[in-house]
Amino acid sequence: MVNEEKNMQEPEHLDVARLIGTLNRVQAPKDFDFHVKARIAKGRPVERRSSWLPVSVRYAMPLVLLLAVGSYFGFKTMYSTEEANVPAVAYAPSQPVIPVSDAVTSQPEAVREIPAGSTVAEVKTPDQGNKVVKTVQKTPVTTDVKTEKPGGGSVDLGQSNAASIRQPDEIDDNAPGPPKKVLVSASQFLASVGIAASSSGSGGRIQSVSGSAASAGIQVGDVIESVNVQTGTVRVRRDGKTITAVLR
Amino acid sequence: MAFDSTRTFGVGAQRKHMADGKLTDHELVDATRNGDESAFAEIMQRYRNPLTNYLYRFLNDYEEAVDLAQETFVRVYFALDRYHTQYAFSTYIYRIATNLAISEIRRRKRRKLLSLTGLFQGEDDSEVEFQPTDGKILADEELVDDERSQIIAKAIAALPEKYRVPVILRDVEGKSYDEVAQIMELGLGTTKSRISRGRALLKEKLQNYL
Repeated sequence: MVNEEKNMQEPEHLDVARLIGTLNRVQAPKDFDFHVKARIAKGRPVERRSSWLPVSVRYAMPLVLLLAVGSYFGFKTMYSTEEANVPAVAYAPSQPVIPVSDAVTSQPEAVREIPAGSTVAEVKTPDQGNKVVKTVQKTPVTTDVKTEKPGGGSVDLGQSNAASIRQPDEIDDNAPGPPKKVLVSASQFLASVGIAASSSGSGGRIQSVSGSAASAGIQVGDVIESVNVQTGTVRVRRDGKTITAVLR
Repeated sequence: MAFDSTRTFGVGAQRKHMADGKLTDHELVDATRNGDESAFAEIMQRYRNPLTNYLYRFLNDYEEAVDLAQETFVRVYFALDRYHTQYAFSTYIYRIATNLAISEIRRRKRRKLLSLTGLFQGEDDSEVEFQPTDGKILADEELVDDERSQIIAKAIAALPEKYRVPVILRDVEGKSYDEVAQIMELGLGTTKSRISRGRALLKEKLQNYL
């Protein structure tokens, strides 16, 4: 371009120009105006610019991209790992578990007498906050202890003292805040601290002790009265005495 | 106020009138904008043959030249509102035609690239347009019999775009260097240089006819 700009002289080769000038001129066809008017009547001209991509690809690519993005978010929503990430023993109850014995002794008027020989009995407290239900089966001896809360939560000391405690969605320790889904298994907690228990008439009788439970003084033959997973407290009865051990 | 404007327009229009009493291009454009279809017909009457000839020399294809010339008028018609009268109308319409022709040539190149190589090649490896034959007589059939004109036309069509446009505008259409420079949106020096270079290339090919 720079070289071209330097050449400011009059173009030469006029013989070539004269030769080109001898070419006959072509004329437009007679129906030229008619076709122009017809095109104008059709409307604005369509761009003749063509693309390297075929038409099908030009339309398919955005569609595929849209589907891919939609699928990604769809699967992400469907298979969200939010629940799976919650630790199994991440128990954080807002209110401590009320031992069954305390509930019974502190609210004697609320106790419905358990008839001797009956297989199932329930014990409820009038407390609106916590409702303790105790179900006793005589043979085989099984103790189901449930602590139900207004929101529908329950603490369940299940069969063979494999207590499981469920924390409802509505219960939150430090409200306000989003409700937490916490699934707590007391049996897992007991197993984690080295306690294996079997059912007995008045609670879970410990059959073997190891790990931190043994270090804390829990012995074989102790009867579990209550389990507080939040504080790691296990209350056992030994020889008529109540012993509380904190297990971490 | 309105009367003054009308008077001013009338005086200006009288001054703009061509010596032979015909309306200027700008007046025709204004009339077309105001809905006068006959004014646009007059524009077509003035430029259809020059444009067709220009595009024919550019593309060396009469049918395509006619098609693009018609397309040029359609585009001009729909773009009249955006046309500024500080530029000559002939410059404006030739620029549109040139852009369309360049686009067409590039489209042909892409088509040629995508087509199966060698299928439509002649014995001398020159490109042969695959077009169905028709019985219509070309407007320049006389040229078909004129070997010299054929060779000249072929030589022009074989020039690179950057040289072909100014050479045709200058030596075929008889435009001034300034007009060619405006149509190509180049400097005057660059335009002259390209014309000179284009002629030199043609001279090499047309030595036998000089």
